[in-house]
Amino acid sequence: MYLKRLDVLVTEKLGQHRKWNLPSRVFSDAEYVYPGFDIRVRRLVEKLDRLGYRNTGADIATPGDYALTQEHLDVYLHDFEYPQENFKGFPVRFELLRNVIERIEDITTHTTIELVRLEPEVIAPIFDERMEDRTIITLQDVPPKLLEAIILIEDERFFRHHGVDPIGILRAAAANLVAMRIVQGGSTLTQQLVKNYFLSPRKSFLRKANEALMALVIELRFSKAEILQAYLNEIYLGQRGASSVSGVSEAAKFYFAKNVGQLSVAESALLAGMIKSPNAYSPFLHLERARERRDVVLARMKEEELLDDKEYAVAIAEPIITPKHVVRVVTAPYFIDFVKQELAAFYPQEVLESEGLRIFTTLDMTAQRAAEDVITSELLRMETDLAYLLPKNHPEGIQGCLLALQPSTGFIRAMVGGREYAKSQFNRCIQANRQPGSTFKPFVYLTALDPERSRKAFTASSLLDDVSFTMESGGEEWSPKNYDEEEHGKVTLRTALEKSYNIATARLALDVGLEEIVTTARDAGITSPLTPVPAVALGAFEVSPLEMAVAYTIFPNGGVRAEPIAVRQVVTKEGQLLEREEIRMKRRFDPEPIFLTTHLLKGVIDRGTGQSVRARGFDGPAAGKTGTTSNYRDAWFVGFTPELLTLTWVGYDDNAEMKASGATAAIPLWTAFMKDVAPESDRDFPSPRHVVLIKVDPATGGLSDSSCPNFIVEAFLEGTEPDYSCESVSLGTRPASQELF
Amino acid sequence: MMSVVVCVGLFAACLKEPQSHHKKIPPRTHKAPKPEVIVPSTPSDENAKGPKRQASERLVEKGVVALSHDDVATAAEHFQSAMNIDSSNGVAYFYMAKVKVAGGNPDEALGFIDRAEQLVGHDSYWQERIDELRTEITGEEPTKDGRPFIDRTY
Repeated sequence: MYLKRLDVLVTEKLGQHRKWNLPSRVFSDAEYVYPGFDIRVRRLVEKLDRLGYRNTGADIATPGDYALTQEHLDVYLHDFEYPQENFKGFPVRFELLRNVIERIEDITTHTTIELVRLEPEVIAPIFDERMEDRTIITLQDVPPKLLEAIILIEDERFFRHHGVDPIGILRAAAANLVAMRIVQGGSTLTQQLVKNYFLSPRKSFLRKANEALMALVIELRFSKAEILQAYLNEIYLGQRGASSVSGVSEAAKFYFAKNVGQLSVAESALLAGMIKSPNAYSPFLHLERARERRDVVLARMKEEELLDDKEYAVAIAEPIITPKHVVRVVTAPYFIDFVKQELAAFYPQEVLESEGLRIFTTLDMTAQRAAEDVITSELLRMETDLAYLLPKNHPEGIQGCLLALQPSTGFIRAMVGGREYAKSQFNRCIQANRQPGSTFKPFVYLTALDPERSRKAFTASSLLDDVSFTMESGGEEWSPKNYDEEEHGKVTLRTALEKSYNIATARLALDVGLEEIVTTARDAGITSPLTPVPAVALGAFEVSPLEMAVAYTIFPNGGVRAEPIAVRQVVTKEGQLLEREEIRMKRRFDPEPIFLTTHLLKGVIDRGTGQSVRARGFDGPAAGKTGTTSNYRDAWFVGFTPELLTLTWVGYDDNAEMKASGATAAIPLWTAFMKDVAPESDRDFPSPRHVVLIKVDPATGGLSDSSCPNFIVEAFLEGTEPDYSCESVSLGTRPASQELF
Repeated sequence: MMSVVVCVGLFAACLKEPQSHHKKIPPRTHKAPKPEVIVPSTPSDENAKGPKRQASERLVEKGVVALSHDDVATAAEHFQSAMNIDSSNGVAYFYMAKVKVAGGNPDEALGFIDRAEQLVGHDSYWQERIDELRTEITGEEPTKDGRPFIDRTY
């Protein structure tokens, strides 16, 4: 009866088509490399290390090798199965001049090539509770020398016994008796398969008995080839952090950054030798011991005439070259959660843990790594350097979010939803609903500058009254105040936005139309509840950081909104394409008012509340807006170049006050990140056809002339530029008395 | 008597010149200075010869080949990668619009056409092709002032 039960168990599990739960793998975006690419800025060598390429120091001979000198970087590209292409790796040379690629050459054909695609990185596998990382192979995929080495070292009578090897057992029993404990195993490959697949690793006589019985059953039910294939896919071969490296294919990638079919004789011998104790013989941890073990295996192979003299000599002389053992793995946990959420409708957790799907995303690993570093270091710095601004003895640390989007495509390039994922999985970029404060103001000004949207026509030179007023709103009196608690009299529309004056903005909003502003926000992509009340102009509603970031993409994208994308393709382990997400974009705004607003937002950084961006060393065309909510509960900065938009948010989860503004708290994160990932962007925002650029006096908005030689270059819709000089503008010196609406 | 007259005269003269906190406001009929107009460079001029643009153009070429073989998925990948590398390559957006049309999603093409127009519309060759494609999708001829048709339906 017991034997019958074992028979059913073995046959059911090993006989099924899917024997193992295969983790799905989430991949980053691929990276294109081309002349002009700065390998230092983009950290290309670090990326190669993360991709498991091996630094050979000299010649590159096999896929996965690379060698770097001052003049060139040679890389033998890996094979890779892209969703639409099976790429076969070949050796390339990147000729360098001061870390910048000058030319790319196919080393095999000596021809110039214009760009190279570097395969995506695995961000994270999605495991079941067993946390086993494996890539399934067939016997045909395995090099003969690897098979021979494994059988020789682990079970040289594999083809002769029937699951249990009595001689091996007797030998082990004798050794155990002498030692009075379990010190040796006489296990066959079949028994090892049983132990790994069905049973716990705990050593006991009962477990050994079960193991033997099940091994016999397996040998009755399955062929030697099937058993061997299952073994090669199952065998434990080390740890990669919390997950185990299971099977020879995964081990080949982990230790040698190769497909199993590409292993050399020496590498095959080492893998076979590691089975006995993978961590003890790990070339990452104990290189000399690994070499000695490998040499023992090679010697046995020569002894059994599995290697001739020449093969032996070559193998024994081969150095063990492994890819860099990457201790710190970029896992982007908040982004992974977001991806799972996006896929949840069709691909629930149990499918992701078992079907071995390949999920290709938009994440830029270099940017992601930079974002994670910035969140960690800058928030820690805030807690020390700005401790006087933060609440004393607050139980929780200050939190943050950093989101980077590529406006032209909608691709999410980096996402860090908090400080320590292990402590809190709450994704502040997606799940937090916070008041945007002054970061909403650009949508007010955009409405004002768009004659198709605003009730009244405005230009950047229009004068606004930054003079206090009171009005009834929602049955209560509402009287907006500026952050400096001062009034500034007549100011230009530009100045009001650059300095983020609440009073002037509120007056502008009332003239422009609150319903119109809400329409603008909706068209930009803000879907959170918005009520057309005066306070909406100052961002007194709640929104997620992702929503704000997406809404802002209309500015660098000329009024065309690209829908945010995280997942590009989903592919089965067999290579069948299940999902494909294309870029989607739609024009929401005319390009001219968008450009006018962007031009104002450049001033925020150059002269306004965002000046510390420049002081902190970020050069090059950029625009943005700070945001600080009332009582300093939220600090925001949304800033962008034509190519990258980044949003940073800082605050406490419990809404505690922190007395730090967007400029103080959020800009340092933004600037540190952008200096790292986009330091040399010099492309400016393109000017649309019906816009003119005119020199005007910054104080009055009138045309600049000899009486007001200080000027800024201001943008206007054709035909709306001022026709009066700065002299003719009266700003007054006394604020008007408080008005009542 | 004379001193009184002088004082009155002086007083009258002071009245004619009131002290003011404001800047003198000349009448608006004063001739305004001619505004100094700054001509911005056109978007593609800055990037046309750069390495990013060249890499992007190679991908566009690959995409065009794929599109000619009705391999819409591959073409889309190439054009998207081209935009990824150089977001100012307006031609990539143009062809992405064609991908959308070929894929049976003409509504989704308009956003790409608009973006293409912003980036390469100054080139008469591309403006003509953009106009043709837009007309093909919307059935509307380009407006008189050259401004594109704006689809505000969502």
